[in-house]
Amino acid sequence: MSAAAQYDIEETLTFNVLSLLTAPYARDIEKRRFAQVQGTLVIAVMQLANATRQAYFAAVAAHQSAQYLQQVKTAAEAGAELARRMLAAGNWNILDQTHEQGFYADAKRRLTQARWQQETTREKLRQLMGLSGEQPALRLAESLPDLPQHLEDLPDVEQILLQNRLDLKVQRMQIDALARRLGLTKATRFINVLDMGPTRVLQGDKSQPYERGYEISFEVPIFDSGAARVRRAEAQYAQAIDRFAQSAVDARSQIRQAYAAYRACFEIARQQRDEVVPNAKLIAAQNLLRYDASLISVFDLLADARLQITSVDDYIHSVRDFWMAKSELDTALLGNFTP
Amino acid sequence: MFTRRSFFNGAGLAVAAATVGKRALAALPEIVSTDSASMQPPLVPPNGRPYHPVATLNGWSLPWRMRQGTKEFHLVAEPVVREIAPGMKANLWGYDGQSPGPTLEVVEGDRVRIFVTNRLPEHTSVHWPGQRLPNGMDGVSCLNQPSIKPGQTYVYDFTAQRAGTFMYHPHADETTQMAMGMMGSWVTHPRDPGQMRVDRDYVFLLNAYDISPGSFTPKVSTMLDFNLWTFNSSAYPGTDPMLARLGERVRIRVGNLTMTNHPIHLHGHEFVVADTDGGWTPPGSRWPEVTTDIAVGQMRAIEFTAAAPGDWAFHCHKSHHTMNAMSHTLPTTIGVESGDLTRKITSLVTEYMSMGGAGGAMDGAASGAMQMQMPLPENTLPMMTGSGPHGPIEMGGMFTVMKIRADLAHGDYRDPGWYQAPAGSVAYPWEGETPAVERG
Repeated sequence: MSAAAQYDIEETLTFNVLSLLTAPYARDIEKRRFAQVQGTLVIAVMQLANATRQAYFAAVAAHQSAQYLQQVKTAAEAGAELARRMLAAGNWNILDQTHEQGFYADAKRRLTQARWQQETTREKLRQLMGLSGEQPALRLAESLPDLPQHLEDLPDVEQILLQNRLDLKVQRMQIDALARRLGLTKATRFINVLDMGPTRVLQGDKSQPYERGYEISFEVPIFDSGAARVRRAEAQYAQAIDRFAQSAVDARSQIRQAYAAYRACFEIARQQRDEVVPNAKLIAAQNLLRYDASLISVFDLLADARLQITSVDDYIHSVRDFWMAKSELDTALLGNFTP
Repeated sequence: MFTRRSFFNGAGLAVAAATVGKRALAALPEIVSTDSASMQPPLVPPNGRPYHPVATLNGWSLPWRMRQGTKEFHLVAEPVVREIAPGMKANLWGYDGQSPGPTLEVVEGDRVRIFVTNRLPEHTSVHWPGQRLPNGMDGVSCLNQPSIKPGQTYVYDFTAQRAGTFMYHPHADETTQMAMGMMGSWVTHPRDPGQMRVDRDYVFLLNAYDISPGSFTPKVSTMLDFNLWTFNSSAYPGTDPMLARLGERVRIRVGNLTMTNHPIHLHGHEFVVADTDGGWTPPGSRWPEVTTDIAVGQMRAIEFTAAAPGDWAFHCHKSHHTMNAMSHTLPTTIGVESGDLTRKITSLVTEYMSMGGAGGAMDGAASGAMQMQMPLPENTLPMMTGSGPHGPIEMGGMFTVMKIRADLAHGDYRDPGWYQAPAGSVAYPWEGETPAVERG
């Protein structure tokens, strides 16, 4: 599964979702119910897609990390072997040799942990993709995709809510269906659930900008007949509106949080890429010069490389975290898909 | 070396008016400075009592102004950039454009006036060890005189009473200032030019610096563990050779302003210590030797007759003092087959430091530097270097060559190149059978 293939899957899922939702509204209740079911299914599919993307990034990062730690272990192994020869030749004592042996043991432990992580994340990905043991082996990309050049700006949250959030669309459909089922027909005013609050209730006619094709509106009609016969229905209807309003508030918050995570993860990964890893590489390059000039020993070179390892491993994980946050954000823009 | 720079045109010397005000300058001797680290030709005295001038190894002698019978010198204490050897420059403090400062040459009985202008960022003073002078001229800051503040000029005025070899150096924040290279030689020639006359008279100071590979400024807080050991702030192969015509009488005056002793060794000849910082040694007290130890703060002048032609090594006998910057913690790998593993480790370290990048975005300055694979850190001399007629000499630091030639003209200080040994006079490989060694 290449990085490009992964994008294909993601895009396919996205476009299917949208095409499902762009189907013109059916006029009758049954068709509306069908649309609700459709929406609910789409949400389930998107949840799975997000979980799969997360698993994919985790698996690629774990694979990269394991490869990296394999090299570190090979170097430490060479250091330990050299130390053994130093001891055998009488140039080193057991203390010096044991120190190098300790570094090798540590490198082995880190590699074992990394391989475990690699297997776990890969298995999770197979599971989410529904691959069974007999199916061909999963081939992952060698490395995570590069960071994008720039951060994407967060689009207008209200617009996102209006245009993309599937869960809100479903809820809106449910409200309309409820109104029909309860036989509520005479709207006295409209309120916008996005603006619902203790002091702000919009009254008046349904405004135009929210009325675009299949898009949902956050303005819902209020039925106020005053007749006792319909009180119960009206209360039931009011409850649904409250839930709708709460969902809209939650959605805004989710998107902002997801965007904050996306931005922070980008900054961290970018700094890791542009500052921390180049510093580590510069130190390694300068140490190689000093090694070539007989100013430090090969053991010093190894010891310092060990110090630089963390920054490279951190970078791999920061790129992983960014792509995971990106997936979360993309998902949050479409619906509340995180279980 | 002479071959690298113009020796006889004195092009390195420059007269500079610089920052001293015009009015003040009218009364001060002009400032003469040089940016050359090569040995300048001996300064033949244009006036005053005659003498046979010295040659300062990788240095020069300061011209003076004769004013009403007094020799006036102008020393400017200032930051300088000194070439330690080709490929390495050091940010030092010195006098008149170089570190060490110029050699001051006077004659026994001369009245001497030295103007010292301080262009350093801190106070200084100049002490004249070994000189018989009034206590107030001895230069210990705040013991004998107020310190010379930045921008100030002080005047030292005394009579050179005793012939011999002296030094000068600050006696104010002297640990820092000497670690930065502030020092110079002083030679008082005998009133009788025939007394202790030699044909070639060399002078230089021993100095030590700690300049971390890749940097330019000495670590002034290093007290013992220096990594550069130099003759007059020059490390081999930047050190000039010393020359003599076969049969000439040669004197080499060596002052030690490092923090440790230096057993100075000449190959192929026996010498005597004819002069110490206290004066000429009585002839009956001298004994022949080939290595003489020069303790901290001491001066020893050795004398010998250039008896054998050739390129004779001349160096400090502490072998690590004939090497440039090195590690003191490298483990011994003698008897250890390590090439396969060290190659593996270095290639892995290079590789795994380069794989951190997820894709092409990692092409930064650092990886560029890595690909260049410079053999050494910037501004760093190889630990063992120098190339001779038979291959790498593997020396550095306090090392140079005494070149003795039959066909060298008197007074000629130009490098004659490598010695052409007569056929059959060079060690040669044994081509025959090697008998088995019987051990009982």
